[in-house]
Amino acid sequence: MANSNLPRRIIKETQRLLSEPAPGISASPSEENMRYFNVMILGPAQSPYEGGVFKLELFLPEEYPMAAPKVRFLTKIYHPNIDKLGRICLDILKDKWSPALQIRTVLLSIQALLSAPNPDDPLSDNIAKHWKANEVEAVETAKEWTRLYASGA
Amino acid sequence: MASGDSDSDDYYPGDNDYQSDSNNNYGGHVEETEDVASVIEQSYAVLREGDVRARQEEDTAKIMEILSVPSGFATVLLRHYKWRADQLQDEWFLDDRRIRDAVGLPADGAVPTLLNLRRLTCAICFGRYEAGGMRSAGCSHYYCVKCWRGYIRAAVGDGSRCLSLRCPDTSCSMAVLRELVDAVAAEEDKQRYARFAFRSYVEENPRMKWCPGPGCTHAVEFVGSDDGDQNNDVFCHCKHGFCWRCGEEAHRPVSCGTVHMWLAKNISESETASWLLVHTKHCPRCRRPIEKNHGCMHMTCGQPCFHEFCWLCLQPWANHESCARYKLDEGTLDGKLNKEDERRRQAKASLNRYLHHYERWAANHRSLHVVLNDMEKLESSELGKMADALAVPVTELGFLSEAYEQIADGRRVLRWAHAYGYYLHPVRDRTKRKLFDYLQEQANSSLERLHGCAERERRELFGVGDIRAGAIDSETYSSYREKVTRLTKVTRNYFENLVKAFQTDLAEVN
Ligand SMILES: [Zn+2]
Ligand SMILES: [Zn+2]
Ligand SMILES: [Zn+2]
Ligand SMILES: [Zn+2]
Repeated sequence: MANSNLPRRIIKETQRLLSEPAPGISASPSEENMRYFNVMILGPAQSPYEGGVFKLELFLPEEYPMAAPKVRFLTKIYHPNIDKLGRICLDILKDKWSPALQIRTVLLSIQALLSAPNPDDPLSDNIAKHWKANEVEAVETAKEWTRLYASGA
Repeated sequence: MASGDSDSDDYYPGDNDYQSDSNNNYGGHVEETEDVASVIEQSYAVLREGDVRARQEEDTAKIMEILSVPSGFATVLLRHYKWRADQLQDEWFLDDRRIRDAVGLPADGAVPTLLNLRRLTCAICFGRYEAGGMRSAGCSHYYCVKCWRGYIRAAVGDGSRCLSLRCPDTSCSMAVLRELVDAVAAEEDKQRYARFAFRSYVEENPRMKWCPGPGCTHAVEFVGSDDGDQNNDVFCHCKHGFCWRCGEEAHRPVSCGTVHMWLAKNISESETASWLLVHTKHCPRCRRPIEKNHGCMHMTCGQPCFHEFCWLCLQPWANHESCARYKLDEGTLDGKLNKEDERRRQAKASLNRYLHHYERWAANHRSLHVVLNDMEKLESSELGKMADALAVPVTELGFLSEAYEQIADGRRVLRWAHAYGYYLHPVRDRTKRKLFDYLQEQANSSLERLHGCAERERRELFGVGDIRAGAIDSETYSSYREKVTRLTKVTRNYFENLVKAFQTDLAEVN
């Protein structure tokens, strides 16, 4: 199995994620593949996602930590930097990745992105347009989607 | 252009008879040969790979000395200034702090890499390492050698971005320098890094470009000004000519804009156009399929037919007037057609006009490549053999090299002139078109004569491949020489007129 030769860094990171989870974030490795994590992020307070529980998947590629983890939302979310396949537009997941960053820092950045959507650097053009044209209405839609798809029931 | 008036008298034909002075009336404007080429040549220099390396080392050494910084620092600084050493020096002494911050260099006295002095944990692999087992980029962020190696490998795999690599710590902007790379990276990554570092000297320098010629490793440095509508063609030692501004093959006298419009047109018409190119031609007399494998357009069918004709227009070669001109189909412009028919007729005429120019554009291009090939053969072996056969020094045969240079230049100019010609509106640009057709025909027929003389007649005189001593008597030779020299001059002159006209009467409208 892929777990036999797990680098020390991944083992350590996993242990710490389990023993001292960051507030509002949980990440646990799958039993079959220790490089695959089931992630849950709680919608931050005062954001349109408040009250929602968002599921994500995170995968550590063979090159990790020289290459960034691959992260994707599994829960449907209305956000200008997240597309309908759940892909996330976040610089540290692309060209700003550094091996000095960790799973924890990545998940904290995603949580911060929920608090501060950035329609100027969009992944989903339609949502970004909506956000810019009528922010109040877009936030309403985001809240609506949170109720519909992320109520955590 | 200095002497517009007198020239335009020369090439403006009388109102109705263009052909009046095309019958062997050479000599006409041969005298004034203001050599524009030499002025253009001075605006750029061709550098071999070794020259580029030497220049880069020289610039780096100079900055190391004047700024008293290690080599890796000098490189980062020079790259930040796009390799303009003078500007770097000037600004450095005004405010070196600002420049250091911008490129991620530490304060004065710092070094490109440091070793850890006590036991630490590597923030990448989480391993513990004794003193001396880790390195930093000169800052306080130490990583083990294995992690540095992986970090550099990933960066090198990403291309020239590796030259701008910073400390892995996201809060630190310290530059990772060549010294650190050389200390930790795998051998192949060091080499790839060195390659990128070398290439950056040309690629980041706005005055330099690699020659895009196939397999060529030379660089061209441009020192002229490339603004305005000046001709920006540069010619490498490999004989590839390209436009400094747009990188396309040399396209004097046509503007970059027209060239790109034309190339885009060719892509959208590629189906029609490629049919034209693969479509085999037949001898207009015996219908035998004909293949063209030499440079000039003068074709001779095989035995027993021996029919001589023009590859482009298929008219008999003898008395063949230049076929560069597109003959407008104006016969049906009498208003009798209904709208639908008229539209169809116009569409057909427009396609024919395109194909006419396209075929000539493409044929001159192919011909150019044959010429460049022939030149290569000529200079590498044939000239030597001919000189032996004639018992003269090779330098005596310089007139042939000159002829070939002129042929290549003419093929280039004609090629692009056809792209220009397509964009001349058949009705609106009537006057321009008349002048253009006239000048182009003159240039074209002169070029065909020269090309035939340099290619076919030379082979007839000297034989192919095996050139025997004494096979040619001195009288025949000197009259051949005289003919080639004269045709070269005449052709050059016609082309200069054509090119000049592009800057004046044929000026392109953007
Ligand atoms: Zn650092
Ligand atoms: Zn390490
Ligand atoms: Zn070249
Ligand atoms: Zn150009």
